[in-house]
Amino acid sequence: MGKEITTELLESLNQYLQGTLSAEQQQNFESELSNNAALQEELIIQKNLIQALNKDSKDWNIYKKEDTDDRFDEIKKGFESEAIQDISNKIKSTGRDFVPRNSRPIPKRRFNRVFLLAAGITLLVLAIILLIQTMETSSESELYQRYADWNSELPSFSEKSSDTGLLLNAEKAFKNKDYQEVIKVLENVEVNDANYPFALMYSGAAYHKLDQNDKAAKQFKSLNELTNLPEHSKGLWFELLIYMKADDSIKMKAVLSKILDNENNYHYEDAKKILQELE
Amino acid sequence: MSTEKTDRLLDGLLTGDDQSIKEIYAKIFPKIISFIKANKGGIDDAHDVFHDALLYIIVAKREGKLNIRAFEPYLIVVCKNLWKRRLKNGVIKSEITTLEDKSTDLSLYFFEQECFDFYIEMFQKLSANCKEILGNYFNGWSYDEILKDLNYTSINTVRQRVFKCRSKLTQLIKTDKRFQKMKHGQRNNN
Repeated sequence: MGKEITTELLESLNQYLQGTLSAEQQQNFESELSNNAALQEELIIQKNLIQALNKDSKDWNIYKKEDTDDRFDEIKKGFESEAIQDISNKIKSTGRDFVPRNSRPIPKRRFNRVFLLAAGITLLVLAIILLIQTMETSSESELYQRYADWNSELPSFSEKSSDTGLLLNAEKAFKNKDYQEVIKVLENVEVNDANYPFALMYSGAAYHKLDQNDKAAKQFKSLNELTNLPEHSKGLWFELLIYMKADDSIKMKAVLSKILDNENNYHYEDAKKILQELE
Repeated sequence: MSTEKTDRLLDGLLTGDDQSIKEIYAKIFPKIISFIKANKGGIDDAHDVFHDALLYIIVAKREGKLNIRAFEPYLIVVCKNLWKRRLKNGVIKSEITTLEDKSTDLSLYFFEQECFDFYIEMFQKLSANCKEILGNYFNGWSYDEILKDLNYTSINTVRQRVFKCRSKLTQLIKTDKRFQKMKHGQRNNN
């Protein structure tokens, strides 16, 4: 029987999974693992928890048939059944007919009195809905659409003579929506590099566009910590945009209160308005 | 999308209702296209994954034990997991052409997703505080980052809190009889 998991063993387990143990430490850990059934179980649990909870995890535990149970054959028959195959064909057919909204041709309409009347009624209904919506509390996703404008919020390097190629390349990649390239270009910028704050802005925005919002939030928090930089509070604003898009009003309010701590913070007045709308 | 509306769409999907399937495509498929394209895939991959995800949900619901709280988020998670699986497996499309291959693959996925859902279910049983701290921990935040974000007094406090919450979570997992049944418990390697 092996010893129970301790905080130290848990940290070793995590480092083992991340591949950050030294060769000797790894050997020692694997030796411990081979004799410790409780630790083996903890390892399996930890792997599964990371897979389930880490938004950026690329890991997926692929099963073989022997990993399943006696329901396997029944499940397989279910997928092969005529009823499911009928629905499968309907799904494929709908998929084939589906055209994304921005690529649909605009249909031509005949210009006639009936059309004018229908258009008029539609406009009236829309106007009433808009009026009702403006009277209600704003939703966070509406807020995101109103306030998020990454292309004008992020600094542009095109006209500055002192810029390095690195930031220009990152800016170009961002404008081309090649967000993986932005991250790749900026990944080796060191903390003491003059470009570091701008690297944090662009890589954070790129992570956000890739929906890797935990990484994005980390970048923006690091930006805010550069208190010697006049623009450091941009980190708070960008972090706020992440939570706006995710409809996370609790985290939004937490960041808003940090922005409102100092009237010199970036978008201070907008933060006041947003907080009022949320409340 | 309101819960009532997504329940209606799920009910329609389960019966193979054409209109419901069209609505599901209109509302949710564009998000899957964006995700797959941002993660090394193309439009054909998005179609395949979306189709498989819908089929999985139908079969899993009919099998009886799948409890979906909100259809749209769950469908999106299944699509993302199926895509992760494809990337991990390095699947070449031509390798899965027969119904036999497809049904075998999706049947294996049924058990993989069941395991995934189990761990999420156990996590949801924790207190709000534990969920917050472990959510950050499992997303790779350092103790220092957790300390600053949640205003703890010291790194040691964070370490102890993570350990305590994780212990609570593993206790929930180990005492659930499903944990012992799931074959993942027998495997260390993948």
